[in-house]
Amino acid sequence: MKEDYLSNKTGTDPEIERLENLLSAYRYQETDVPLVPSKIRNMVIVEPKRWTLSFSFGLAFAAFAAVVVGVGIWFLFMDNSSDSSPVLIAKSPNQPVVTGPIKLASTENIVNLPAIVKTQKATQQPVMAVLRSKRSKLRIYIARVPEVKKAPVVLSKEERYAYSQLMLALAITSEKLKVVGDTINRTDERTNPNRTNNR
Amino acid sequence: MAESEMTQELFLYGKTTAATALDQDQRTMVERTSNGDQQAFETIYRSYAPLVHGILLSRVPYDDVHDLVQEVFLAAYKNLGSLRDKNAVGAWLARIARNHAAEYYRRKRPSQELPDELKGRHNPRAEAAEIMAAIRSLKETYREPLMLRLIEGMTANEIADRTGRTSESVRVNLHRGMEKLRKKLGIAGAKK
Repeated sequence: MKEDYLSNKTGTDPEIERLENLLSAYRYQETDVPLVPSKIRNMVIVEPKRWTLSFSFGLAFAAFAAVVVGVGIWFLFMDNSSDSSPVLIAKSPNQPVVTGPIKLASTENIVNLPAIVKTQKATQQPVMAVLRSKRSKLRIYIARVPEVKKAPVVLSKEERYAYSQLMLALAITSEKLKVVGDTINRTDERTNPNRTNNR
Repeated sequence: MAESEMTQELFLYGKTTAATALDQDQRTMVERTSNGDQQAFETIYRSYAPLVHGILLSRVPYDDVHDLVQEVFLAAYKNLGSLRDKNAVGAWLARIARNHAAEYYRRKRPSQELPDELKGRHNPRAEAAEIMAAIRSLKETYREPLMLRLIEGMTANEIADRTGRTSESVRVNLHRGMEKLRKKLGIAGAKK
């Protein structure tokens, strides 16, 4: 192989010439130049200038910074205001999401309140409340169900009689049991005088 | 540094120092084309079509090369504003051609070239197809210069001028690529 022919086409190299001849079928055939569509041809090709690019980047950066600051301020105010007006989400009575936190100012905002109270009484378990502020910020609270005050017991005449009889029976029973206990203790002392009663 | 790495570096980062008449006219032609001068665009097309053709040929099937050449020049025309160095049209066009070849394989359904006996009279013979396949199997570093040399008939200096590489790196790659091609084709005289 003669390198001159390969690089500069000077001299001869039969082997490379043979390859060239064989591959000539692939050679570029001069064709008509593609017509540039008039729409493109009439388009003014403007090279973007450096200051334009810099200005664009600067503007984009400023917009981004403004958005970041705005979002930060919004979150700041959200934290302060969201607790003041929570709204309960309870779409069905069976939903275990039933009560609001202590911070609830009024029951006006609570949805489906009777079902909620009923569920509280039945379970007497701490329940979870999903609250949403008016600005749609979701918060989850765990609150214990407030204690239900007992109503005063009012008995009828028959009930009072039954109650007194029951008390009497209990008193008699306890007396009898006491006698039995004393008898057993004395018996023990007689059979085993050294034993001390530790009770 | 390994031989192949050195070659790659020469191939990728080399810069031509030879300024041809074509180079001197490049800026004018590009500016005229930017202003919508179809004649200037034709001049650029005729100067660089073989280069684009050779680069595409080293990557995509022959039957699709012609259409892709046209696409490359249209894309170049539309994006002429993005050409920063007006004296490096060749390297810029070569890059667009490589991108189009990659894009071709992304969008194209897989296809195979017709066997030689089924091809038309304008298509190459079986032996030529075999040589072509051997060149295409080489590394890109050697493939492009060999295509431009053996098929498009360019000299090392012409390849260097059009692609923006040094003529030394083109010569080295031609020489090494030819050695590898000889080995693949089983031509006597190839170095072991």
